[in-house]
Amino acid sequence: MKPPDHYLVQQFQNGDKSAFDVLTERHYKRIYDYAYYQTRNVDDSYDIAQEVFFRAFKSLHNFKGNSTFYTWIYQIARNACVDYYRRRSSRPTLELTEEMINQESISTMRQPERRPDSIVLGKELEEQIRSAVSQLPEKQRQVFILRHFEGLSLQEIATIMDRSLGTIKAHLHHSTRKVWKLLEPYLSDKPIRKGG
Amino acid sequence: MHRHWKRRFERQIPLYDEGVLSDSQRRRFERELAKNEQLADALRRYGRLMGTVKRLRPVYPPRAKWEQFLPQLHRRIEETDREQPNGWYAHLIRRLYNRLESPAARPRWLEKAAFGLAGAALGAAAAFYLGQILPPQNGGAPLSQGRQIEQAVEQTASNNIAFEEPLVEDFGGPHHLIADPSRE
Repeated sequence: MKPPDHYLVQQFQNGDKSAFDVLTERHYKRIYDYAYYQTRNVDDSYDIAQEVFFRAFKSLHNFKGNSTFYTWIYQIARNACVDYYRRRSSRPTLELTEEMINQESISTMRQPERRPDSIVLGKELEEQIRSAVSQLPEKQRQVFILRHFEGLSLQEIATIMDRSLGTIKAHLHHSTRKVWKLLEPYLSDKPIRKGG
Repeated sequence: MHRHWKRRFERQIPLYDEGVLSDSQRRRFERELAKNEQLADALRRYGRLMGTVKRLRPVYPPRAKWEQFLPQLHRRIEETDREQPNGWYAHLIRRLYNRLESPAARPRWLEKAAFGLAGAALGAAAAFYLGQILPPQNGGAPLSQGRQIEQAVEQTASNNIAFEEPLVEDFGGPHHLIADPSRE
């Protein structure tokens, strides 16, 4: 039987450093996944995951156990990703708003010639989903990824993001609607009028 | 009116899918869903999108690099430990640094307090700088025209008094008692 996370945390805090290896082995893939959905870059995600577990090792002795270990480590991952975006902030980034979805530049994706039925569930749709998610505003992106890609509950997301459940619901609603609205042409069975 | 209701129900699709609608909202939504083919179609499309979202998988680094995750983390931790000085003061500083560095462990008020202190310091520095370069408030203030004339008149009057010869001859009294060698 695998020892639970809180037991391993206690072991670590009592001086058994090898307990941290077990925790790392158990969670580093999830943290990598989370970082990858944020950055869409293999090397950056790997580095972020390394940074997350390094920070976790340094501050695990301060962990009070008010939340589960994995929500705590997601908190660190979330902040590491925010730092990552901050470092990249000198480069121009594009955030997706409702207005932009209706603009001509984005609506080019809605042109009928770009909507072959064969790709509806194909690679291009996956790429469009990743692209749409990466363009969401920061908090909405975090919530969307944690809910839909990582499969966390709304309450866990609220703990990780240190926000109320209502705020998380609102972020999830807005982010999902934006992504849906943007990708709807790929999902429709009917032909789409140009510029629609 | 119909368009309004259609939009309202379509907006609720993600909430319905999440199961976060209230009981009355859910019942209303399902009643509409039973009779509105467009809404049912929209719900199917939404389900297709979410199905694809859930099937998305990240791209992983090459196996060799992936297997080095834990050894690489160990190396980094060991290197940091070697670089750090020992002693109680170093331990204290390290603990404080770790607490500040780790955002999860960093209390929210600490950031606010840091911003507040930085703002106050900036304000104080600006006030000090302005105090250095500006003249005193009353010393350099421009005078009104009337006050300028008054000052000029006062100045002239005081000059006249200062440079006029004392009218000793016109007055009797104690002046004559002073011995004047030129008169003798």
